[in-house]
Amino acid sequence: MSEREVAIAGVGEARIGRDAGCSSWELHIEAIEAALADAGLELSDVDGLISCPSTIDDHPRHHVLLAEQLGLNALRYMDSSRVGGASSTSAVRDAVNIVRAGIANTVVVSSADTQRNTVGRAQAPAIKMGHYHNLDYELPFGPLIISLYALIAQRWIHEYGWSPEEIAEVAVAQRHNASLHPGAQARSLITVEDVVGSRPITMPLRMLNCSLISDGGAAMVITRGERARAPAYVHGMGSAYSYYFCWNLPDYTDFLRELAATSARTAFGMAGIETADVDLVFAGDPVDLTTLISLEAMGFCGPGESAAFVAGGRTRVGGDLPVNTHGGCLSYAHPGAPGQHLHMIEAVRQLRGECGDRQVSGARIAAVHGNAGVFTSHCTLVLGKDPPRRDRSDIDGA
Amino acid sequence: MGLDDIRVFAAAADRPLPTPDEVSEPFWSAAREHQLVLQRCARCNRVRYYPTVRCPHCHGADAAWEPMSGAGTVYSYSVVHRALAPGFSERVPLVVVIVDLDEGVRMMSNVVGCDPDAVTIGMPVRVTWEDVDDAHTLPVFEPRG
Repeated sequence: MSEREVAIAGVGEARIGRDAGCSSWELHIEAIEAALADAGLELSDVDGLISCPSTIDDHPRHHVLLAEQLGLNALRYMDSSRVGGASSTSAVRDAVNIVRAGIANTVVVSSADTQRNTVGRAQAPAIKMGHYHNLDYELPFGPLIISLYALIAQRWIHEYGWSPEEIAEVAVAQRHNASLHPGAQARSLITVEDVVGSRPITMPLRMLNCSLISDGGAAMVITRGERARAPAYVHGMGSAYSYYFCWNLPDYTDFLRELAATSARTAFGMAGIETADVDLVFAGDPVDLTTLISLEAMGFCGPGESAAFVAGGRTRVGGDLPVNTHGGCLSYAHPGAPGQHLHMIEAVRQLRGECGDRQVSGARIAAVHGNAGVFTSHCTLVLGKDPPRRDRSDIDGA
Repeated sequence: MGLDDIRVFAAAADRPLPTPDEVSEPFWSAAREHQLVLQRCARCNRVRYYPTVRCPHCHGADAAWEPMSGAGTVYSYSVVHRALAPGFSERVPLVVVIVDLDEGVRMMSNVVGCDPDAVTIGMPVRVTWEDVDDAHTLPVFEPRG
């Protein structure tokens, strides 16, 4: 039996940026409405829902509450995706498999959060840290969530001798990209000097090494290929999961890179592609370091070489390998769970050729590396403008 | 709002403190006596942190609580300038550290008793104790030798 063709048929965003002025439920609903309108489909076409729950309005049956508010009371599939920042990539992976298996025909994936307007910037760090990390062995010592990334960054800098100026290019490049997107939360151009001179937050991470704090919602419609009027295709999917507590990681460099590489290799292998086939990259970026590690994990450069790799504007729109062309969580927006959902949405828009000033010409293959949990949970997707090849004998060696 | 949510919101309002449970009680009780004790697995002989009901290395069920030397070195650290919660506002900048204990296990803690900017990877440290209140004592580390 041949596999069903599955496509991403619609993408939608809701009130991305500062102070949405509504609850996360409303953002979920608005994003889903936008994605369905983009797909030319109706709520009555939806028979599957995966929600990426919000930090503040979370509920063990989040997806059921959301479905009920949408009037979706006879679904063939529903669940919540709870993999932090990688929830959305993981949910799309699962939605593709659900449609491919014939369990449901049209699955909506949505995520939304109100990190700014519900709890405010003062309490957001502790609320998020308390939700996702540990109240007994971590919080009493005062780390922010990004402090856990800072502990990792400290080792990368120590082992590879990276300078703050080299690393700063990640933030400078992503801000350049965001400056080309009318919807980005932070669009003013910044320099290397701005980054290395910005306020210390949790060293070696300064303010401009870190992602924004945002509100917003994001949604996608995954359906059978023949129903999609502007399809993007999922060519490859992979994932990898590991420790909860960062002190249990065997080491902070080789182990983390290899973990992410396991996810990326699975997705690239399924897609039958190599790095040379990739036109643009999306890397989950709670901090700039994870953009760098992701490039190494996907094989674009060798161990410890990513800081040198991004030099000279290579990852800016217009460079050899554009990365996070909307600006990513560093400059476009980081509303929690939707943060990396926005990476996928931008990837789809790039593949459709809808991106105006920041369009990467001839974009046919986008690699999206979702990561979460201080780089311990990963989901990589390879998205394509064209349907995947049916004959996989050259990949499997069959 | 569940119990965990209440703890999360309380932590955001003030200083988060541990809540011992049936597994971790010996660790926190010993801390109040200024003793660092960890579980050593009866089957594979490895020490583990944090307290758990099974050995994460061999899945052994039996373990004995054993005093540690308290000596270790800095594996990684971050100087935190932004207070996680209001209870930390008088304490920043503070040093969050991952310590390699000599017994072969790592833990998260703070480095105290020195300029935060003096902390380096590989720095020798030893455990000391922060008595937060009558019920809560935290293991923290200070420069050694």
